[in-house]
Amino acid sequence: MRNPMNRRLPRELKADFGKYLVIFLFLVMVVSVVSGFLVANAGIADAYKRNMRENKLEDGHLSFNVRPDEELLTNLAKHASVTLYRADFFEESDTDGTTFRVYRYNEDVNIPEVTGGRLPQAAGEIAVDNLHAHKEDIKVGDHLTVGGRDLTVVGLLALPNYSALFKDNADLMFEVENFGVGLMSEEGFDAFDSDHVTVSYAWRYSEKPETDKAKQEAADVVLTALRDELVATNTEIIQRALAGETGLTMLEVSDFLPEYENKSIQFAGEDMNGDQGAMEVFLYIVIAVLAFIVAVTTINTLSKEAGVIGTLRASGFTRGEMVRHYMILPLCAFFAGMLVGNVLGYTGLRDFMVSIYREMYSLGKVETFWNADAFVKTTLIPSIIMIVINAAILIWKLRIGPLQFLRREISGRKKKRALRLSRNIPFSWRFRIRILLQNLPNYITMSVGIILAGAIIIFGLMFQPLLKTVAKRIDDTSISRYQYIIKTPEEAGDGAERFAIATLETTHKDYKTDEISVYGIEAGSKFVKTAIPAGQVLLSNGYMDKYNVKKGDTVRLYDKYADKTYEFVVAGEYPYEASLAVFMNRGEFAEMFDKTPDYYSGYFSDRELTELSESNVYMRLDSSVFGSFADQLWKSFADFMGPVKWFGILMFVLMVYLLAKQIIERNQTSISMTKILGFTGGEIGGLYIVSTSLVVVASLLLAVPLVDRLLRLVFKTYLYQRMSGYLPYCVSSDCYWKMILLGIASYAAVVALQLWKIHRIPKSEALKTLE
Amino acid sequence: MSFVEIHNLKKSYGEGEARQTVLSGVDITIEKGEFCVLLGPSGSGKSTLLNIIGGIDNADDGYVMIDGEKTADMNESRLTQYRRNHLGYVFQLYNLIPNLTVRENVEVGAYLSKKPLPVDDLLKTLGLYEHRHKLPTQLSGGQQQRTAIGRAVIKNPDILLCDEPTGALDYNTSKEILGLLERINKEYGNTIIMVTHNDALKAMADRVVKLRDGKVSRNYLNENKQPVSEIEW
Repeated sequence: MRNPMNRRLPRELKADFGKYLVIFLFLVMVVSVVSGFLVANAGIADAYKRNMRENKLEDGHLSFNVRPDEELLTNLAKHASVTLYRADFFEESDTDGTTFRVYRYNEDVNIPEVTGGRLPQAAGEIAVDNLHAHKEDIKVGDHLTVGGRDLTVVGLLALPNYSALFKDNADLMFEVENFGVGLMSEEGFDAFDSDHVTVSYAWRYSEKPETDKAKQEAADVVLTALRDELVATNTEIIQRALAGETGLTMLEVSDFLPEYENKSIQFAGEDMNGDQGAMEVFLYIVIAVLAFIVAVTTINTLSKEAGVIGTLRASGFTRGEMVRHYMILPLCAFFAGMLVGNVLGYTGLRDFMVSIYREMYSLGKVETFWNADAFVKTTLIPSIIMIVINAAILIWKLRIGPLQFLRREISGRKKKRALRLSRNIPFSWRFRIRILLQNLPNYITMSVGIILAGAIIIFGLMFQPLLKTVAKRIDDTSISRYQYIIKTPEEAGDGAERFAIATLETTHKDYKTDEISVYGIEAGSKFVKTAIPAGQVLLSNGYMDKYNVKKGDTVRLYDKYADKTYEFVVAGEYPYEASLAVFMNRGEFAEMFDKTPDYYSGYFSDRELTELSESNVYMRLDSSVFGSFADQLWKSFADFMGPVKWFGILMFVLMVYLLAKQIIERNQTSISMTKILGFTGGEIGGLYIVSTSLVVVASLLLAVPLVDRLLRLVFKTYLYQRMSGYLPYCVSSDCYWKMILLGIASYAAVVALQLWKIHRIPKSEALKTLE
Repeated sequence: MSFVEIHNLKKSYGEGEARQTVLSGVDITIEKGEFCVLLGPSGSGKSTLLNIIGGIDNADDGYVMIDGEKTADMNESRLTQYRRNHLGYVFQLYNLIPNLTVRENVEVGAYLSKKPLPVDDLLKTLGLYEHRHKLPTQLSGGQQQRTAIGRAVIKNPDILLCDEPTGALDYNTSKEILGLLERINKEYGNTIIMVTHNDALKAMADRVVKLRDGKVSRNYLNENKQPVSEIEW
């Protein structure tokens, strides 16, 4: 015989449709987003890896200040077991700050995937990276002016070594609008006259290292061989100079970047992995919260049906049968949500997610496919979480015998005495306190859910003001309006102050490697106004914060070109937000890095140093460069953050609605009785809804410090270790106000529904039960 | 050996000074098919005794043996099976499932049994056949209690345990319900143990057990059993 209890289910569903609809919608919302994301992510990752795998991605590249002898290249290739490919490029910057980097086409390395048009063949033709083209609305057939010359766009590309458009590997974030990459044919490139050609070579190993360790070891071999060749070449140059030869230039390496450290190559992959991990954790947390919410609603049902359960258990229904019975409907709603969520995820949401990725990364053709991994992650694991949490709570609640159910002692604890409340507390408040105590598990779940939803809302809100603050702080703490880094010493006029600079790397094992700018500052500097104690250094505030460095600590930094580690004793902090930096006295800098005492490699200045020859300027940094970073960072976040905020708000509304509804339903008889006694709907709402409102408002207020701590923890223990560069943790107080106001405004909608529900409770409800 | 043997049954609640003895050495035997009325004032321990017989409460000492098997020796799942296969329960509060019809509520009991009675026949016996499609809220108190009895009896249990089944009903409805129990006992031969504080109902019993302060004050076979219809209170 089929269990007649099952006939309750459709009626139960109809009677409590709101509850199951909320569970369903909640699941549809979460699962569609996450499965859409995971499917898109897998397709994008596939396109990203395919482009690297099939198109002869470089294993690294290096650049020189001048073209080295063939002998050096041959020796380097031989000693490091690599093949070197010419990969020269030049850069042209527009007045609006856009930098365009044009490579010389090489059919043996970094072969582009053509996403539109064709490769350039003649002089005057160029192919452009498809993402930059999309952002700047460049189409095949358009004309581009690069370095004052007119070029025809003949193709759109996805370069395997530029899936993320990082202008500089030290940049915190890629730039899709202010930076673009193009490709010219060998003839076209060679015919193009630019002051800014960088002599560059890409290398590929004869035997491809597979593991991270092997990759690092192989890159070390290349670096060691390069150092040896550099020493040999420069020794020869010095000897020739000593012999009286003139017009010689010392050979310097301006860039050395193995593929595994190249953000333009690695960032997209790491970001996708990181996003995926974060998405999964987010899904499981949300599912766990939902599972507890469902469990709370089921506990309320158990409480309402205690007599029936007692009778059925006394009649011989097993605990397992009861657990299954009370789990069926929530699980049906859950699985229906899963199903619809997955369908949406695999259709509309997938395309939306792909388009978000395409706004950030330059990729070739993306094909999405059935993803068993996504199914396991979005369906199987959440189902297990849901079933385990609900089954565990139901088994726990149903552990008590039929007698306790018949006596309505379902908490399983001996009945405590009622808490004594002072008579000085007005009656209405004593009533509300009793409601709070009666529904404590509901309210605790509600509080936890509100705090979680609050964290999601804040996360969705915080980045725009944060990045504005970052831009402002970079501007406020800039050392000078302009910083020039020059290739060889050159005199500058009034107002310019010399500094020396070296770039070292952090050695902290738990963190991604950061590039640190070590500045040698003039004694009595007009720009760096804090005195630097002898033998010690100042660290930029971002460095101190990110790595938890304290005054008196010693930090170690590594010079990969010299294979040397330097130690610095920290005297304190210097407010400087543009980069992670160390400030030391110029004399000590020269001593530490084996330079002559008057060595310098740059200028601080509050005016543009037009007197410096343009070809000698290696880099010019000004506020527009730093400011664009924050803009770019926001642009890459904005597409994600809007939906995150709305998701948080929706989650808040659904959860508060569901739990508040339970409280009203649980007290249906009492509400009916108060109606009989003559209380008006408004007065009853004042008793029952004010209690819930207090919890909502208190939870929103409590969310402020807790979310602050939670996000601070996420920054310190997760974000800082996974990203290079520095993003200060600061949440604008506006964000918290917005969260509270959004919370209260959306709760107002829930209150309206609650009042309507109270209004609908008939007076006969109380009498019926007493029959 | 009697069908139900209760030996030296003791039960207390609470601890320390608050400890209250509810049953202090109860000995009763009930034969198969007997209609046994457990009488006593409030707090005399009759409901506790019924609950221990039904396996939903435990004794501190002594035992209940049904058809040669001690309930105290059964583990939780065995006890559930024992209740499922041998017992029917009727309480003062009907505890019907509100969103199941009369027929479906009765079917819930049938589902538990390997040898259920025909549902429609029983509904006719209970006078509920015309109401079988109604929900409990559409029924009177008496009809609800009849449905609850139907749910317990449909299993055709060996023992029907009734805890103040008429406690919430008026005189006429009570009579009607008691008449129904009487008929069930006669028709299906179930052993019925009924708890009541109404002394007049001893007249309808085969066996009368009076409890006072946790002890059996009287235990006798009723030689002059009367139909309920003839009993007044």
